[in-house]
Amino acid sequence: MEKESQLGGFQGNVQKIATFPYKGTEDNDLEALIQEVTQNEKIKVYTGAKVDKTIGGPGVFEATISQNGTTAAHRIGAIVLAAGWQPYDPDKLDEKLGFGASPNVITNVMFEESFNGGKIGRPSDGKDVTNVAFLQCAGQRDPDHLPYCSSMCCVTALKQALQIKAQNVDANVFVVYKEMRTPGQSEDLYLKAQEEGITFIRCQSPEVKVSDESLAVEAEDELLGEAVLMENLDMVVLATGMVPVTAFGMDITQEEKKKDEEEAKKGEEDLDDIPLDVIRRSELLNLEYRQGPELPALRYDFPDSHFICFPYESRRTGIYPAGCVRRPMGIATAQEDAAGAVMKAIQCIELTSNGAAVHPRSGDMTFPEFAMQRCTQCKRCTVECPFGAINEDEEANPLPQITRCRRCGVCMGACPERIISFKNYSVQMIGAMIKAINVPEEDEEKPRILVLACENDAYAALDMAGINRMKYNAWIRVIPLRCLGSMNLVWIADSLSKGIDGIILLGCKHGDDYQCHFVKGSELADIRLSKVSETLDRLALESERVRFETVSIIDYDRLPAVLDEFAETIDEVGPNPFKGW
Amino acid sequence: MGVKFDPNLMKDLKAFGLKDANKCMHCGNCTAVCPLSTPENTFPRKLIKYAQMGLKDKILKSPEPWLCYYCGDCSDTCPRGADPGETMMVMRRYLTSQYDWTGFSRKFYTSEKFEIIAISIVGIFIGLALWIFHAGNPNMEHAHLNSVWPAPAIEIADIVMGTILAILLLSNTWRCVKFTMGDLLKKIPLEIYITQAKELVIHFLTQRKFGECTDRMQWIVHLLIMTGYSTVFMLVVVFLAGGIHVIGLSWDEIMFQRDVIYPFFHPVRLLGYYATFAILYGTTYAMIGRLKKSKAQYKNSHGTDWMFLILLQLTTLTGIFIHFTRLLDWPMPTYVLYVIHLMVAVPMLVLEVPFAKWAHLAFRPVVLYLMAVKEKYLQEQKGAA
Ligand code: SF4
Ligand code: SF4
Ligand code: SF4
Ligand code: SF4
Repeated sequence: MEKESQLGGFQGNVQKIATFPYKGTEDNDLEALIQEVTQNEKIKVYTGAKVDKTIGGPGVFEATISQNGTTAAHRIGAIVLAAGWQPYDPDKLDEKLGFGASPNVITNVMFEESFNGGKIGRPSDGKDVTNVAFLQCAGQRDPDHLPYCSSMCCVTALKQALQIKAQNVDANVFVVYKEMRTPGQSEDLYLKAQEEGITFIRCQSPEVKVSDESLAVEAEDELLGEAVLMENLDMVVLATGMVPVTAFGMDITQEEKKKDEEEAKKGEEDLDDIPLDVIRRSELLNLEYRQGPELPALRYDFPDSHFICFPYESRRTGIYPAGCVRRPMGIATAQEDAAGAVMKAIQCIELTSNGAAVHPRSGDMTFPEFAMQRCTQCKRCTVECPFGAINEDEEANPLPQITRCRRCGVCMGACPERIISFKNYSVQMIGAMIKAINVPEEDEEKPRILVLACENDAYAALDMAGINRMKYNAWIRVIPLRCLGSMNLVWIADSLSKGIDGIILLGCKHGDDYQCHFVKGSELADIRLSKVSETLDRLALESERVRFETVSIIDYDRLPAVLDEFAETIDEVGPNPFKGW
Repeated sequence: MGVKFDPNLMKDLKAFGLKDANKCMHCGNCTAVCPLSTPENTFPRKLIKYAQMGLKDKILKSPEPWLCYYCGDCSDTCPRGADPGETMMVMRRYLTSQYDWTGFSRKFYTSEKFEIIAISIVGIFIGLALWIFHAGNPNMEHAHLNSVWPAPAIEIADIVMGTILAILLLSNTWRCVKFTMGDLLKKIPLEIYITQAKELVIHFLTQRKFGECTDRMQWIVHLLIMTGYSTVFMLVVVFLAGGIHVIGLSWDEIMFQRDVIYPFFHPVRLLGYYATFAILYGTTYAMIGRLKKSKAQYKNSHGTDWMFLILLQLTTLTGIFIHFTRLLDWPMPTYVLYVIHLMVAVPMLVLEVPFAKWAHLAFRPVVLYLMAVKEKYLQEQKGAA
């Protein structure tokens, strides 16, 4: 499904590409690739098309695609979202960079678009270029513009500089950079550019000086400790960065806020405590999900789950972002990305057709069952599910979409009525485990401490501590949970009223660099726990008795100290007065 | 107003043997590892930047090339294969040619053809001169050199050569001083120049700085060649003319290359032996190194590097042969070898000393001395402030 009238996207504008093995520039063989795609009978291509809506879930998606006024619906197993990027708007750049002050100050994107297919000439009059400066990071890595590195513009500048050198060996080509970032093997292209005699100047803030008829750049060269003046330039090329297309469109949470302000709340239960995902109306997938029409965004509006730990995963099961919409990248990485995301999509279709869960509980055959008779339509489960797996009917009853579900159990932890359970994991099961814990009598002077540990990282970290023969307090009993997000507050209340002296929850790091396998599980547990103080007050218990800690697997070495310190605190607080009841 | 890029310098430096400097990405490893770089005079990275940017003026003012002894540590460390040590070598060649006001040095360095032709011409000229101007009745029974070429004539020729050499070398050295010190030259009081003079002598004699390098072998080889050469230079230019009969100055006991054969422990003879051993050992080591490219500093050999070693070794070898033929008292071989010896030695002196590699014998200690002067001056300035 391609929005433009032909396949290829931005690559269609590109004459030379920089890719493996990065020993020089190479011809863009896009045409051949497009041919291969269009001629493959297993691929149906729509160009100039748009997805009007997507409903269902993995294995049972139904996408309505409109093209030239006609629409077609397709049953789809899984989706790869490779919707690409837009260049950062150069008009927003700092005036110092001179964009707009002269026709000869262009961007890297304009370079590709204007010199595609031939001679590189001065934009104002088409004359041969002999002096050209490339200014890197035009807006990138600048908190006022794009705070992140676009990772491909350095390589692009090298490529474009080499193109100029190939056209005229005697051209003076300067690359003014903050730091040259040439990931992986593309370092070789940097070397190549140096060998070809391209001059590199390291400067944090160059200035373009435009006066009539003349173009110059002044740059404080950090390696020289002096300003360098590049005069009589024919062209200045600004390296603007990539913005994912998912960054455009109004954020639905903002829309909702507006609505709320207009019509004051109508007695609904307050769900404000749950942090809402940023979902923008970027008109890509148009999902008919209760939680919003597109993929939730991570930092900088990239639609992803944690991309180091879980590449290609998004927070909508069966939809896998790839390419520059996932993170800024060059052509070589984008190709690799496409393969990766497609593999994920294939896995998803396979597993789903067997009724099994996908990453991270890949292969799990159980699913959440709702005892609907007791549901109060509180919406907790639909709002808290990190994967938007629960829709809602007109009466606000939760409608779980099983193929979207990752079996994290967050809904089970969220439900105040405790009506959600899995065949092999339920509130009652963990409750029974807690009940089975032996609690020493008060006169034994031995407190009992319960650890509820996320089985993905925290439990493994405890194991690691064990493997390394580290010792921690013997008062501790551990119960692993699927995800800390599945922690139901009733377990805390039960434990305390049973006489357990302290409870510590071990979950993954949350926030922008979250490590939670279920994205928001540990965060939600933390939020839930903050409300436990009420319970504690009611029972007249000290708040120190319950604590939340984030750990990752590499923290195993500090874990015994954390537990010992907690045990000490509990010892000081004294025995739980409910003992023996 | 900032500095301006000059694309031509890099091309120019290529002629002096520059190869890989444009690969430098300025990581600074070379400067970090260089045992001789100091916070006041950091190198070699800085010089590579000057080269890349074409900052000729800055290079002219830089003392750093003379502070480097080419131990090669930097080139071994460079992750980019930019060969920073070689860049420093190229800078020395370039500076030598810039200091030389005659322009001869530049030609010598940038054209191998010119180098060979120049050396051949001087050699042939010497050969012809010796051939034409010899005494009428050479002693064919005993090897008596002075019977063929009388001592006074040789002395006069030696004085003439010595004077020309001195003028050229000193004037070039003066330019070196001027370039390196710039405005400071006149600002620093004479007193400091005088008190620091001992540095000049110490550096010249011990090459102490080089001893700070990690590879001590290079220092030893360098010291051998340097002291060996200086000894011979002294014997030839000073002691030979030391008996300047013509103007009435003479001290017969230490005259060099006279028909008297000194006893074994005579200082002149001992000095001669030392010089022979030192040069032969040093040059052979360096030649093998260059052939095998065994160390970073031997990887790239400029034409002048080879020429220098070859001439030096030839001079020494012919010198040894003459020594034996004289001891054996074979007249004809002695005379022929003497001609060859001079045909090699004189071009080496005349061309290499003021214009090429041998000039660093003067430039290096002078620059080190100037740096000591400058440091002292700056210290005093700071003390005063
Ligand atoms: S790739 Fe280079 S130019 Fe682009 S943002 Fe990163 S550092 Fe800046
Ligand atoms: S188990 Fe997790 S993914 Fe599935 S419905 Fe519940 S919260 Fe959503
Ligand atoms: S080590 Fe090599 S790349 Fe690094 S600064 Fe020195 S010469 Fe340049
Ligand atoms: S060759 Fe040795 S002395 Fe010269 S710059 Fe390199 S490390 Fe320093």
